[in-house]
Amino acid sequence: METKPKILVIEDDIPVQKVLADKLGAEELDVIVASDGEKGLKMALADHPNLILLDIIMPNMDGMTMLQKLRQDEWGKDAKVVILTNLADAYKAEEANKRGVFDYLVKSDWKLEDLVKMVKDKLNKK
Amino acid sequence: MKRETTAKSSILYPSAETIKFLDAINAIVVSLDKDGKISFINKAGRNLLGYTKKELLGKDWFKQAIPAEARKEIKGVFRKLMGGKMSFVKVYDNEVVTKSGKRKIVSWHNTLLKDKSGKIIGTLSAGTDITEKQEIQQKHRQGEATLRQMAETIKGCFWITRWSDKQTIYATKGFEKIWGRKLEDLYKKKNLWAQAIYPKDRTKALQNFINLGKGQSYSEEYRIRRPDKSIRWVRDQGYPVKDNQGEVKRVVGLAQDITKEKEAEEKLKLSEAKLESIISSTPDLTFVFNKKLDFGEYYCPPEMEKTLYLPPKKFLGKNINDIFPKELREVVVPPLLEAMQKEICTSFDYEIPIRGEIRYYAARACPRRDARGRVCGVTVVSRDISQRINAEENMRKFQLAAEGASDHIVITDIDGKIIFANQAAEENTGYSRKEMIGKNPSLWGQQMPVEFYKKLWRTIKIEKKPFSGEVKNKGKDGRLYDAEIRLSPILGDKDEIIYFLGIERDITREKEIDRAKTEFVSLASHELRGPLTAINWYTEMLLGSKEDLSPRCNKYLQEIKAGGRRMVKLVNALLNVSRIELGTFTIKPELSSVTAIIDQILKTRQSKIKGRGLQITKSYQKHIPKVKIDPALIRTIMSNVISNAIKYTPAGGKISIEVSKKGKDIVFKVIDSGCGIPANQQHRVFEKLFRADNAVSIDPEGHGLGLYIVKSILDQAGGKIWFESALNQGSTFYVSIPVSGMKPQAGKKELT
Repeated sequence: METKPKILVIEDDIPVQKVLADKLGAEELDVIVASDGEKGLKMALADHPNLILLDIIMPNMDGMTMLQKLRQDEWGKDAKVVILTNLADAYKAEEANKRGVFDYLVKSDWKLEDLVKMVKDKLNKK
Repeated sequence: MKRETTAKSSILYPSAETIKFLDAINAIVVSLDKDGKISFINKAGRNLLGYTKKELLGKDWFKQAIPAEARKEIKGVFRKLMGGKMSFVKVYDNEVVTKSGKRKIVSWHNTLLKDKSGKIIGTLSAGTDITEKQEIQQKHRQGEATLRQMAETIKGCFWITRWSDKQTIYATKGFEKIWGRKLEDLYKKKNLWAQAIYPKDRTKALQNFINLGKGQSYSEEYRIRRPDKSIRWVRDQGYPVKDNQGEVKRVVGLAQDITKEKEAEEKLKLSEAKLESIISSTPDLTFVFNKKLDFGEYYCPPEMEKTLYLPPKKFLGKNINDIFPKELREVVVPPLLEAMQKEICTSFDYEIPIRGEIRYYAARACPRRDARGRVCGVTVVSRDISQRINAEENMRKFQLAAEGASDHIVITDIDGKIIFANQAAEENTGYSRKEMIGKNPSLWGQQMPVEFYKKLWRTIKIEKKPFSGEVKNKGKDGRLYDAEIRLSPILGDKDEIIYFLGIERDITREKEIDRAKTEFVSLASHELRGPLTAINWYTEMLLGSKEDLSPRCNKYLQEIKAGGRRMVKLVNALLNVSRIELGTFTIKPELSSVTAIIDQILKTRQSKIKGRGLQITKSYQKHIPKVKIDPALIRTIMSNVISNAIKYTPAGGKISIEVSKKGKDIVFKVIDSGCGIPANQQHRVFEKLFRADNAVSIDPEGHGLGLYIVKSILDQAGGKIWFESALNQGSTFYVSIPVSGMKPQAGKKELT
């Protein structure tokens, strides 16, 4: 049996987290969720997802810190990460870029459908 | 031969006519017969001798005219001559005695007279009185002899040169000593003298020599070069010697070796110059007073003449009590008197108003003594210390002013060591003044990269220019704070750095407020977008679910979806407006192709364009250069303008987009055949939140921020936007960007 690609959604806004899990789950993807950076980091390091969708402003540990810690890990340094946030900040985007993320997306600018396409696209990339 | 004899015998007794002729000439003509008797003497001859014709004719020439002591000898010669026993002497000089007993010298030209048979019958002599000439020559000879005698004994070189050919005909041995050359060479080589002169002195010496010919004597000093290359100084005096016609025949002179004299003089000059330079290099004023305190001599460096209380004319010889006002006398006079009375040096300071400006002096008075050692006055040396005093005074005033300033102020010496810090500096850094003085401001600095400090020091110390910037500093308690610093070198009169002035302001709070402002906007937009995202995505989920939705539900959900989208756009626009107004957006120019950006925009609008059946014409001029622009900003600008054209052009309308380079600008032109802008509202088009009436009715969902944002971006980045529009006919929007590109702006946020 073919294993489904695993996606980790790190998002503190629960409705948003749920709708992402529903939509991506419906697309033959194995979705796991975390509601802050700290939990997200643990799950990432434990489950080694194929792609991480990471929010920035979150309690306990924000997305940028989580990313920084993730990159210190042997597996995490090459993990695929897409920042999915509502914070439009050029500095943050640049910093994220330096930390090797695929993309910096502003959620409200995206339709779910386009997001799914993007995710699939990233997963196919080696 | 015959004819000649006849002529001559007739001369012995000339005819009356001949006598007339002979009397008319200046020369003396005498003919003697063979016995020595005067057969004829012309007028000139008689005049010379002072006798009448009677007294002479037929008389014995020798008795009558020849001095007794020479008579016998000369007559003897004449007899021998007449007897043909002696060869004829054609020219000779002899003395004659006049009637008055005077002696004259006559130079004779003689001819023997013979008769037809050739027998000697007498002589005919023509003579010239050369007495004066002889006397002059005699004198010359005597003079020259004396001079020669003198010359041989003097150390210098006495010389005589014949003027006609400039031949040195005489020079004393002294020549050899001075010139270091052989005397014979001087006689042999005419130009030896000129050649030996040091080239720089030669022209003048030769000119002097030539002037001798005009009767001008000279006394000149020049250098000569000896064969051993040594240089000697010569003082040469030359005098012209004239003949009785007033013509220069010879020149004589005396050349002396004055090398030692010159050397001594040079040494003296040198030591005088040294003394002069020593005196003039001290900036001090020196005044000499007698016992009564009258001003005697003074010395003042030339550049300080202007700073004298009075011009020298007005104080020299005057008494100090008559010149100085009372308050100045009270300060100056007592130390001078004390110096003389106690015979000690006294020091005192005084100030004196000069040209409306107070000048400060530090003075020292010392007693003067006469040859017998008694005090005869006082010498005062004053030094102008105004600059120092003024600097100190200014510094004191400045410190007073600086002390209370709210900005942190520090003054350092040229090495950066703190010599002053105000109270605010203590408060700012947490260090006490005791801790700061003598230390470098790096005490609380050093938080910036090394390059920053290198540039700072280069600016203020080498370029001597002020430096300002924002730095992070660290207080004594370890608190990092943001500071705005302004550093200036303080320059002295000669442009030298005296000290550095540093003003620092803690801008941590301002920075925090600034940060808070911009963070509020991004946080607010973040907060607004959160629920919006949920609304939009759930609506999308519902609309996408294949479950049965009543047509009404479907319609309502569509409305929610549209509202959500408008809300997203509005939030983005508000965020942009806020960033533009705070000036916190970035402009990052990079070489980009403007036409490529427009093509991309058109691509994303493709479905709308097709859906409404719009005709789009692109017309790009060839070879539009890439320019330094921020592509994101250009995208924002052009998509706003293009979107408006699409939005306000009715279905099936035409839109034309042109890009061309015009002069120093790249100009975009977007022409639509839309509704246009009412003329009375055109002036408000770029206002924030303004929408034209017809625009509102066509698209009620717009928010009136697009063109305001576009205009604001262009204003800050260095571009222009303008338009032409006619109601119901269409609008043409122009955007121009300089080919030189956009001005960079280091903001914190990008526009979305």
